[in-house]
Amino acid sequence: MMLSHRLSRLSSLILPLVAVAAQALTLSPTSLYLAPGAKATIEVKRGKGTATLANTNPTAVSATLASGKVYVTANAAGVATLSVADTSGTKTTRVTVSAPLSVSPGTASLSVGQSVTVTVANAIGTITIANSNVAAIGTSLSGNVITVTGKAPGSAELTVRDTRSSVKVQVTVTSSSPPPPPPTGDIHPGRLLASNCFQCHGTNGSGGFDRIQGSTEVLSELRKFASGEEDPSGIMAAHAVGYTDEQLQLIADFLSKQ
Amino acid sequence: MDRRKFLASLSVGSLGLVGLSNAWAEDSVTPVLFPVPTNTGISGKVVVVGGGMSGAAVAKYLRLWGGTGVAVTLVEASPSYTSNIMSNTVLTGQRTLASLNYTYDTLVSHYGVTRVNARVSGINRTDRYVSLAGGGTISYDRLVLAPGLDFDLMPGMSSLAEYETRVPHAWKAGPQTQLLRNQLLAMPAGQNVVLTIPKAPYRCPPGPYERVCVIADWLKKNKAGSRIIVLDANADIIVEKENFSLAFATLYAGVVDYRPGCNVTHVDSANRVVTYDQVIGGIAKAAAAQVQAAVLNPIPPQRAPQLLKDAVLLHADPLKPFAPVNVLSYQSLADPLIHVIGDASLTTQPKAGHIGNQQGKTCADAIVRLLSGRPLNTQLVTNSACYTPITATTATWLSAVYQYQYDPGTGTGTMVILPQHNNGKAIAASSANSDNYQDMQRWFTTLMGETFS
Repeated sequence: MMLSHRLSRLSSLILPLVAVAAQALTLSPTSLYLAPGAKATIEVKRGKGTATLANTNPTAVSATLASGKVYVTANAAGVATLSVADTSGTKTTRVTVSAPLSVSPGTASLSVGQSVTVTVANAIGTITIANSNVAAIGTSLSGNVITVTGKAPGSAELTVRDTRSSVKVQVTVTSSSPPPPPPTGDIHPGRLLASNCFQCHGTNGSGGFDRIQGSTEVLSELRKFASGEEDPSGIMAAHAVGYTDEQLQLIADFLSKQ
Repeated sequence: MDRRKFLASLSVGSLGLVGLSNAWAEDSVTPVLFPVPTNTGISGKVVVVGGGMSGAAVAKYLRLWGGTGVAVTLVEASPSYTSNIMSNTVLTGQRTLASLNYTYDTLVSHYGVTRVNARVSGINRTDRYVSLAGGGTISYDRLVLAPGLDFDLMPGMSSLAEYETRVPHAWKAGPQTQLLRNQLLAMPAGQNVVLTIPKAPYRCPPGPYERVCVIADWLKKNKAGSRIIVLDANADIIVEKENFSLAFATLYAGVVDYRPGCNVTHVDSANRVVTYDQVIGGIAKAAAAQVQAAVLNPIPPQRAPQLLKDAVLLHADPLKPFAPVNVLSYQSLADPLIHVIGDASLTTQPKAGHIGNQQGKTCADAIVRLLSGRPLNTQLVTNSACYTPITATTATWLSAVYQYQYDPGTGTGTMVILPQHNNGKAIAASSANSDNYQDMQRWFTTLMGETFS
């Protein structure tokens, strides 16, 4: 404002000179951070004469100058300096292409007193955190890891920023009341595994092909099939070989108790 | 086989069945009915849509494992289920359609499943109910979708009715199976059958090749000089290549004309003319070629039913028209209160009845755990086994065991065949033979009993 005010007072005296001084070439912004695939526009305020564009790294960035703007497309990770020159001088914009700022996980659910960590990836510059509900959660940052601690039931939104952008993490805090009492009667850990036998051996191994319900010799037979000791080209070998020995033990234990 | 030896080595044991001979166990195919427990402390209201192999199994096991507190409603538009498995032998007259019929009577009378004979027209995910086509709604705590598949129109076709009256796909056993049987019977000797196979994934990977074999066997005996021309959209036989290609080249030399890499571009259902392009190894072998069929059996591309699309449960990629799920529980990735099992789900497992039954049990186990605050079972295995007739008296089989594998990088789990299992691939019978044919009959009877009784 000061400058233009002064210029306007002087304009009747030295108009041609002032006109040149007022039309200094500028680029805005002078630095850009883009994810691969992203597009951006740089505003060019024209100086004098015909402007030309130079690009130090066409692999990282494609750029074209048209109608007072530089149209930028980020191609691949890297840094490019875009220079616009006219007779008034040269101005540059530094374009950095890198993966976008991200957080993992993007949502978190925890109970009061519990902590979870959120990892920040691809940050450029300093990471800052804004916490929408300091009553519900506390946060601390170490390197690129945010530790979120539940303080009271409720929900909060963390806004994680670096020098170029921000991402949000939704956090839900539940009360720390104890989980429901464990249900009565445990489910045998081999039940679902053993149910793979039922298509051919009937429900609970009750018959069809061989009846295996209540048998105590299933494990030794399955191990013989799995090792190829018994009928290696038969369909039982083709099944048994697909399980771990621990799983075969669970299957046999379940069937023996039916 | 060493089955009899295996059986003899088992102690029949503990449940008062000692008096029954080993022969009973070897020969019995009468399903044993286990009681529904009353004391599990688990309760919830589960609606199952679809009464096929996976839907019937999940309904049964929700009661058997969940107990009387788990209310299960099975909604199915058909009064009974007609098995797709073995339905190719209806085409050859070895079985009747009626022999493949399974009712829901035992699920209702013994297991206490509530049966609703209606078509579901919509799902309200917000308020958790399904709407019935005839009016009315059924609310749920958890919804299990086992709806099978919809069939696409082949290029050039304008109505699904063309499948019902002219060119049956017969890929859902029923009236089209009988129509195809009748057309084969009426076909003059010396004329040709044309069968088209869609790009995988489709229901029952070996099924089309099995159908080619049993029809070829029947043509040899009943229609001298007739051939079956196979236009396969896949680059090659997709499963059991050794067994099928051997059968095509030897048993059925001069009868089966197998053409891989064929993209069907037009089906004239009135005149039974198929137009196709053929590309093998990136090289065009035929462009706009035509074949004339006396009997035309196009097996169409398949997708999850429109009901699931309307409920926004399908993959965003239109080339994967199935429902993505967490294979630990078959919970939809779009809605954790909805489970999708069987052919409509998007997993690494084949779309087939034997493994559909296992997905039903896996889903039932998961729902019982979710309803009672237990963690999901991560020691998870499913198995696929499939006997396949090659002639009227011989069969092969194919088997695969899938293990749950969690990838911390992507945060998702998939079912994979372990390297120890034939380097991560399915295992096939070493040859087609009559022992396998006998085993196939018993496998089928036991599988259907385990699913519907």
